[in-house]
Amino acid sequence: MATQRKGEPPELSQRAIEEIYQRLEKPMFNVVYRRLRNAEEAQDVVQEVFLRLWGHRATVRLETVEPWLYRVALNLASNRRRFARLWGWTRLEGVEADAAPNAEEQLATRQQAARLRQAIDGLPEKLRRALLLTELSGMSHPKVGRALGIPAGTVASRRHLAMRRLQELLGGEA
Amino acid sequence: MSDWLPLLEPPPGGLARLRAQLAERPRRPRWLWAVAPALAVLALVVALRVPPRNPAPVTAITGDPHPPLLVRLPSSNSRVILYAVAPTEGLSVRAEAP
Repeated sequence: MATQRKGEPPELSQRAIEEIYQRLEKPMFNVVYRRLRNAEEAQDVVQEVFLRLWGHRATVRLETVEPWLYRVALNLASNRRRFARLWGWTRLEGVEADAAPNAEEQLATRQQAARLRQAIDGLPEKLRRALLLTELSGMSHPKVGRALGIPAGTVASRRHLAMRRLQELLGGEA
Repeated sequence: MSDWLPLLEPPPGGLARLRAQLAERPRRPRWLWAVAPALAVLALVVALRVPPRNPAPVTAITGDPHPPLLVRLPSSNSRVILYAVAPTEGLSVRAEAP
């Protein structure tokens, strides 16, 4: 029995949650994948995020659902990463290299992807979160700011700083 | 979206998996969350208002229909009163709250 109290947002239906999932699955998978480097783990996290949304469907508003979801996704990904480091297992994959047609190009792409991965992993957590969300989620800076709990201006400056650090680390490639 | 960070395709079947997991989750009755605290408070009030049971009379313990002679014994604890009951068979001691 879903009763809506006065002043409360309407509860998200399963259909609405499925629609949001279809819209956000790919960008969210990419954000999480860039933290975990494992497609299976990343998909697990995305699923968990939406199960949590289901649990909070009565309180999460449709207008703010996107930042809410990304905030949960980043936290879950960080927890998994911490856990993986703690137990010493990290199964890294090289999905980025699959697009290259021949072996030589594939090797070059793989090396480039590995360098980029290392550079992103080398960023401070705050900069990395801002960078991944602005580059991969498709959210506006104010929305990213809501997800991270910071003003939109700070999002822009962190993204800028992250890009500059990547350029330094990659020698102008990024 | 980024042009230097390529978007990867997530593994297929994500939505079907999510639907299956949502179907597994029990839809908890939300009214229960409102009623449960009220029930808990009610149970507490009832428990506090019920008078304590009177201790069984000594005659019920000894089986003697006549009230036995109780002799108060010295006790080191002021909250505990010790009585000695003197029926026909031996001496039994029983503690009662004051």
